[in-house]
Amino acid sequence: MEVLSLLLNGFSVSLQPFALLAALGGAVLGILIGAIPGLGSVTAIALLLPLTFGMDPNVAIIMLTAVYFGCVFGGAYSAILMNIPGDTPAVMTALDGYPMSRKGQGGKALFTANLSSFIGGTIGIVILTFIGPSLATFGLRFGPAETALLILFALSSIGWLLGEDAIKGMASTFLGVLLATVGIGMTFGTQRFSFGTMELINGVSFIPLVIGMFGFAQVLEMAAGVYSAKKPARQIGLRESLLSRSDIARILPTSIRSGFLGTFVGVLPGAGATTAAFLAYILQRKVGRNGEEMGTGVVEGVAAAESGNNAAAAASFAPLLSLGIPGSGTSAVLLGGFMMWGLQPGPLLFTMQPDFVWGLISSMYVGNLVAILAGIAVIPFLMRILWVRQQILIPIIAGICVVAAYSSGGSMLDVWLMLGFGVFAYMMKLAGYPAAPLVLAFVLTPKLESSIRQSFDISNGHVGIFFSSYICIALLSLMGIMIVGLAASSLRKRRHDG
Amino acid sequence: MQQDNGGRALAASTTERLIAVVVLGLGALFFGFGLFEYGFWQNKGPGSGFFPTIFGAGAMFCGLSRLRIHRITSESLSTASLRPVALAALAVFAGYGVGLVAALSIAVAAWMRFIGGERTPLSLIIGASFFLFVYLVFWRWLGINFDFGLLGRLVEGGAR
Repeated sequence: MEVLSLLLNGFSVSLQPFALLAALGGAVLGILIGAIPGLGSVTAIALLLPLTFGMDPNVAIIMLTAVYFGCVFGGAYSAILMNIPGDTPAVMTALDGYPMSRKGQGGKALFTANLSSFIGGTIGIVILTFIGPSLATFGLRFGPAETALLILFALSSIGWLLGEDAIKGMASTFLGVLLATVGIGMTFGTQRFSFGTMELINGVSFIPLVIGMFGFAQVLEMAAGVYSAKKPARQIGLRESLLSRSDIARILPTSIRSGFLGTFVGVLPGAGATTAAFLAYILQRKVGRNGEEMGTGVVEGVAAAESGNNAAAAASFAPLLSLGIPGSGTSAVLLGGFMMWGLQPGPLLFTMQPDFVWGLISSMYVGNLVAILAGIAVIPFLMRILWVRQQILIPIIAGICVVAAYSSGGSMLDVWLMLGFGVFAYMMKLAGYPAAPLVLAFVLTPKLESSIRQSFDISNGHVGIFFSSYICIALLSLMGIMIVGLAASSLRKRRHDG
Repeated sequence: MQQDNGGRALAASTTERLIAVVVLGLGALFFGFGLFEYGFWQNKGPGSGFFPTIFGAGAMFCGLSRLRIHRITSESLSTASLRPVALAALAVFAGYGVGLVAALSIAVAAWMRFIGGERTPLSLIIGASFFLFVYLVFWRWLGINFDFGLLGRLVEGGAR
């Protein structure tokens, strides 16, 4: 009951007219920034943080929270409409969202993304409200060994599950890991595979990679005329894009399941929304009703990724508020904001600054609600993109890909890399290699590498650390079960094929 | 086999083998450097070459497996699909002279007019709108410092 009264107090701040206006402005801005390829929530909050210097901290945090939620919503839009993920977790959304657009169900995919983002976000916020601090403490049990095994579990499953050929999925995963090792090694500071190129000392940038692999590869596919025959015969109206009762019945269980999983992953320090979206998608594929159809453009694929992503985004506030440990890049930037406003996140924040903490948590409810309303309001405009002729879309998307790649680091090498990745991804696609494992492995590898090294440092070189806790044993068992299960199903398939 | 939009096609077997060779080659490169150059095991733990060695070996295995499989599952590579690459590369090269944003805007208009077959006024409007969008969003708002190229520097030098 005490929590509820504190939350109501928080709402008395976040529902003030000026605060609501800040939330609305923040949500719209977040959606716009999130939808621009290459600009994620970290950039958005970093850009807007200086503007909040003179603001009341409560209003400032309400606005930034709405920006954050808006970005997470908006990241899906470019993934669905153009196959260019606005941010990393949206890589998973693109897997089913874009095929839905190609089938003339782009509007439905957008509505699904909005609804499941809202459900996932709400689950994450409600859990944060009631058991956030204890969940954050549980998250701390995930030391380097547990984190390494969790990422290994995710990596080992994604290569197998995406695409039809396990070898091709694994090859894509391995290439992603290898690309991520370019640049200075975190442990010993060794320069790896930069071959004297100054621009490669910090490694391959993520943004040119993801834009090339998804956006530019898509441009090449469109230019080849692959989709000209598959274009919807007529323009699909807004009314036909609304979710039917049966759609909602398919989306709800997926979103709820993914929301809980996303919340759990979101509180783990450093695991982030990408891992959450990724595991939610895998879980859906394994246990969902339409698991086999995922990747071909089904609402469950969009719902799983978006709900997991948003739940993790909300849950990442738990370690930030209660322990002072940022759970994601965005919450790390917000931590800087807290300090700027004279607040010190940690166990004492809940008791020393209850107005601020509960104002923030209540603003997450408001931000989530405002973001879905703003998101639904822009769908009719977004759907017009689907009606634009491909001969107009191709040069515009290609131009945006080049500009976004350049903007990521102000380097022409990034542009050339983006073009190279685009051609390679297109050829991979023709040869049946899935691109998503490469991108996801690229994102997860730095954390995996540092976690493995830290584990050996802690254990003084003993491999036993990977069997030392019940979490490790559980993760290893899951990996074992999955590998045996996949091997058995592969054998069955081979026998069946003769 | 995918539809060829006016261009010739590279055989499916070639596409499949090309990717397998790239995977194999990259795997060998990372494996070699990882094992012999960066160090596989250092100070009682994985060295800088640990990941490149392990995953390089994995990539080599995958590349070899795909080279040995004769059942080709890929689609042919249409040369029409490579037109945007050529145009983008041309625009990026031109960007060194006239600036990236201007070169891209011209490329957008040129694609629409000459490859897309759109009307000239529409092509020019879209090209100009692209320039305006990049100028307002990326340049003015986000503060991305686009290079004006040699031409820009000449103009700047003349103005001084």
